[in-house]
Amino acid sequence: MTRLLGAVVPLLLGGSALLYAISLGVGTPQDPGPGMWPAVCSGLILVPAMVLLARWRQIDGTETFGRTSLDIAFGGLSLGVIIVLFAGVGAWPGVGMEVAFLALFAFWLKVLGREAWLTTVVVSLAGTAILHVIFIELLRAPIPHVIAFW
Amino acid sequence: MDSILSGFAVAFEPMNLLWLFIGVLVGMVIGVMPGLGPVATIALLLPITYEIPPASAVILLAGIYYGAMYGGTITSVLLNLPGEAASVITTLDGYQMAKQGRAGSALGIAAIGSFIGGTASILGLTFIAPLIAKHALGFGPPEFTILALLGLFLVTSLSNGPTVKALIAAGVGLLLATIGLDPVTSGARFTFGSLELLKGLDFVALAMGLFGLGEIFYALDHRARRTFARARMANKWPSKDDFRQSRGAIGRGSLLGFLVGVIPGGSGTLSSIVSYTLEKKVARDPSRFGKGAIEGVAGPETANNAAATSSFIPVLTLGIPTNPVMALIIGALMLQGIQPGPQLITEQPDVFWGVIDSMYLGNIFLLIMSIPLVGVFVKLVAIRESILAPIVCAITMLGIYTVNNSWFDMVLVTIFGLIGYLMKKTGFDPGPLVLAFVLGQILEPAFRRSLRMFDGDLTGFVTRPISGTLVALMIVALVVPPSLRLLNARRGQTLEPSLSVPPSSDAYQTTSAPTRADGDQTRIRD
Repeated sequence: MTRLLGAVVPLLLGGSALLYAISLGVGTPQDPGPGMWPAVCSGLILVPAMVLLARWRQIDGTETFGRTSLDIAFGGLSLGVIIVLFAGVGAWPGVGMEVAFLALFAFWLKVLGREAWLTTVVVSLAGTAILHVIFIELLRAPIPHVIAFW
Repeated sequence: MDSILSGFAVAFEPMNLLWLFIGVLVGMVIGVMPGLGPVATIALLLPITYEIPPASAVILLAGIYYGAMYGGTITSVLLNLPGEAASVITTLDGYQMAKQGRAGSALGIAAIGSFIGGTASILGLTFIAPLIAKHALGFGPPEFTILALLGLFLVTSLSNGPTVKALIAAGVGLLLATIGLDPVTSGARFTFGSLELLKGLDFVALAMGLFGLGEIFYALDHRARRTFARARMANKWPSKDDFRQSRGAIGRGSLLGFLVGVIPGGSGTLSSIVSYTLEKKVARDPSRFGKGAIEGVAGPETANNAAATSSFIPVLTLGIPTNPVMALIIGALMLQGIQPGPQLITEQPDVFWGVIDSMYLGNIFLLIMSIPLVGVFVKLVAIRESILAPIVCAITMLGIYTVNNSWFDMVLVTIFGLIGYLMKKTGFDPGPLVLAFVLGQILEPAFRRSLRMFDGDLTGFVTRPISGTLVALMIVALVVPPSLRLLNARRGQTLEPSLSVPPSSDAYQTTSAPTRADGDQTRIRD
C-alpha cells in the first residue's frame, strides 16, 4: 500500500502542477511564458511517476508505517502548538521562548521519547536554560522571551 | 601567489581559526554520533552563518564537512557503528583490526590517510580551481543551463535508491524553486494568495526541514536502545609495517578521491567504495580483506577526505553544487548576498582563497585532535535519540526563527520536516530535491535566456562548442551508470565479506538513523 501511495502522490502532484502551469501561460519557445518552466518541471515529475506506477510492485525501498509513525504525527502537531505558544496568533501575543520550549522539551522527552520523569525535568530545564543563554543573552537575537538579564 | 598568501592571512585571523576549530570539532562529534549526519548539522547551523562574515561561515561549514568524514571512522573502528555513510566501508577491516587489538593502527592510519588525502586534494584545488574559474568566465546562459542539467542528472543517476524516485524528487525540487515571483514577468506563481510565498520558499527552511527535522523524525521512528561490543585499544599508533603496507593505498586513495569528488554526484561514500574495490583488486592476497587488512582502512579513509575537499571545486568555480553539503554551502553564501560562480575568485578573493587555505589548517587540526579525543567521542555515542531529538528540534525552530524573525519559516520547517520523514519512509532520497531546488534558481533564468538567444531553436545548445560537449557528457552520464549496473547484475559480483551502504550516502546523505554495519549480513555492488 505504501509503495502504491509513493507512486500515486507524485503522479497527482505532477498532474496538478502541469494544469496550473498551463493556466499561467506556457508561451512559445521564442517567447517563453511564466508557465513554461513549471510545465517542464511537472513533466519531469510526471514521466518517472508513470514509470513508478507501472512498476510499483517491483520498485522497493519503502518502509511500512507502524505505531511509532503515529508518534511522528504527534511530534509534528506538537511543533504547530509550540509555534502558536511561542509567536502567538491573532490578538494573542504568545508566551515567549522559555515557556514554549520548556513545553516542547517536556512533550518530546516524556511522551515521544518515553524518558523517565527525572530525565525529562533535568533535560527540559537545562535545555531551555542553555538555549536562553545562547540565543537571548549571548547572540541577543530578537526572539520573544520573558526573562532577560540585560 | 599573492592571492594564495592573502588567503592564509584570512585563514590565520584569530576568529577564523576559532570558527575552523569549532567546525572541525563539531564535524568530528556529529560524525561520531549516529542520528545526525553532516548534511543535517550544516543545515541546522545555516542561521548562525548569517551572523558571521562570509569567509568565516564557509570555513565553519567546510570544517564540519571534513571533520565528519573522519569522526565517523572512530566509531566504525571501535564499535562497528559508522556515524556517517562514508565510513561504512571502514567497518569491514577497521573493526576486524580493532578486534585483533590493532585499533590504534586503524585509527592512526585513517587519521594520517585523511590528512594526506585532504592535503593533496587542497593542493589540486589551489592550482586547478583558478584555471576552471578563468575558463568559466566565458560561459553564457546555454553553458550554465547544460552544466546545471548535467549536475542534476549525474546526481540523480548516482543517488540512493531507484533512479526513477530520484528523478521525481529532483522534479519536485525544480518545481518548488518556481514558487514566488516569475523572474521575467514578476507574476505570482504557486503562491495561492499567500504574501509570505511571494518571495519564494526560503532555502534555509527547506534544507533545515528536509535534512534536519526530517532526519530527527526518521531517527525517532527507528529508535532502539543500542548495545555495542567495544573493541580494545591495545596499540596506540601504527607500526612501521603498517605504514609500509598502507602507503600505496594512501597514494591511490588521494588521487581517486580527488577525481571522484569533482564529479557531480561523486561523494565521500562513492570514493570510499571505489577505493576499497580498487585496493582489493590490486592486493596480492585479496582474501585478507574483511579480516583486518590495513589497506582496507587506509585507502577508503584517504579517498573520502580527498573527495570531501575536491567537491568544493565546482562550487567555488562554477557555482554548481555536486552534493547536498555543497548545496548548503552555496545557500550559506547566498544568505550573505554572495553568488558563487566564476566571478567569486575576482570579486571575493578573501572568501575564495581564505576558505581554500583554511583547509590546510583544518587538516592539521584534524590530525592533532583525532587520537587524543577518541575516548570522549566513543562516550558520545551513548546519547539516546529520544534525548537528542528535542535538543536538535528546539535548536532548529529557534534557529530558523532568527533568520527572518518569521513564524512562517517555523511552519515551513515543520512541514518540510514531515515531508522529509515521509520521503525517507517511502524510499525517496531528499538529496536530489534540495540540489534541484538550488540548481532550479540557476536553470530557469539560464534556460529562458538561452531560448531567447536561439530564437526558440533548441539545437542551439548542441551547436555551441562548450555546451555541445557538455550535452555529449550528459548523454554519457545518462547511459553509462544504468549500463554498468546491468553489467554488474549479470556478472553478479559481490564483495566478500560484503556490505551494503545504508540508505544514505554523504553526498546525498541525510540519514544516519541508527546504522549497524554487520559485515556478514550485508553487501554492496562491486
